[in-house]
Amino acid sequence: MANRERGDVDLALSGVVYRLRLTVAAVCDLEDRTGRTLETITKGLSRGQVRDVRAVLWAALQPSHASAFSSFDSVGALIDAADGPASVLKALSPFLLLNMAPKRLQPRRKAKAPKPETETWRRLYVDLRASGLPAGAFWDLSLRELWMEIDVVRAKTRRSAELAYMIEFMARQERISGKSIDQLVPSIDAPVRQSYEEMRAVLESLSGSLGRPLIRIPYKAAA
Amino acid sequence: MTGDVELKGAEKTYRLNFGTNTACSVEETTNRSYVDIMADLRGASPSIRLMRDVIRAALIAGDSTHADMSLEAVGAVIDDLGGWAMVLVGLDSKLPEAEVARLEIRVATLEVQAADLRAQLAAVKAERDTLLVDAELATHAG
Repeated sequence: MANRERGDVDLALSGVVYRLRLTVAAVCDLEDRTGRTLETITKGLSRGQVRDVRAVLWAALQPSHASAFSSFDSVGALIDAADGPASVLKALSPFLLLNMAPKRLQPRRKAKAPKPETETWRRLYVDLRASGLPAGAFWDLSLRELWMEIDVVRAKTRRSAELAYMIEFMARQERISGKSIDQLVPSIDAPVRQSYEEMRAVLESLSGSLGRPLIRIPYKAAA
Repeated sequence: MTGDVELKGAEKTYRLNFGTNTACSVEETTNRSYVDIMADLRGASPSIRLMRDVIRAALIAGDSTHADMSLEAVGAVIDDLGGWAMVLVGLDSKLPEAEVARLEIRVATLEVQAADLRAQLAAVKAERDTLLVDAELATHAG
């Protein structure tokens, strides 16, 4: 059973179940073979380009079925045997949505010149390796796993920034010396301290019930 | 979209294949989608040059001996088959599924676009919910 959370999908074509997985290595191979970026290919696919349906299916078959489908033509024959590109495109749609970058609203910025795709992959590789991803693991990640790893890096960066802010915030506070943490943070079980008025009221009540007046004792500071 | 078609010319019979690989080959050559190409060929004023590209790809896919066929040679084949109008009529009668395939791809494409729009809508809703919570917190803080 394919693990959808990892970006894997089982696709039945002509009575055979194929495990589809779009890894970074397969996508780079696809970009090399077609001379186009994944973004261009997926855009073409959403316009109904048959060559892009075939190309994406080829890439998705590589991790588990590379020996059977080494060429684009072999994948074309598979599509023909499976009711044509329209049915394959329909079947591929949920798989692609699963593996595409999560939709986020981005603030509108001035369009920058796009970086070469190889530069993007290199940057992603360096970022993820720097965040602790083991060497070699990057290429076997599915695109869904890749986006999740990027989310992890973002979360780590955010937490580090929050921690740094908190440390700096605390460093700028007035130092409280000579008090233990118990004094600074009173226990929940500790009784609520009485106010002066409350103490006086209790004493006056006792004085009345015992019939003995209250006597003021002069305060003597400890030597 | 699958299937071989045999067209008889004055000199010989030609085997054409209109499979997925042919469609891909034509898309590579013309840099247009198969849906657009088929719509063009079935339109009121089909492009003859486009038809020649399609026939060339179909001839190569149908018979590997045509692999190195030049565009001029394809033009000669079309003439042998009775000219471009006859080829169009011949293809039209022999490949009714081509139109079905074209429409199926169009429908599948629209479904992909709809799924993408639904994902975008979900992102917009999530962003809106976040903004509403932020606004609520700001109101209470104020």
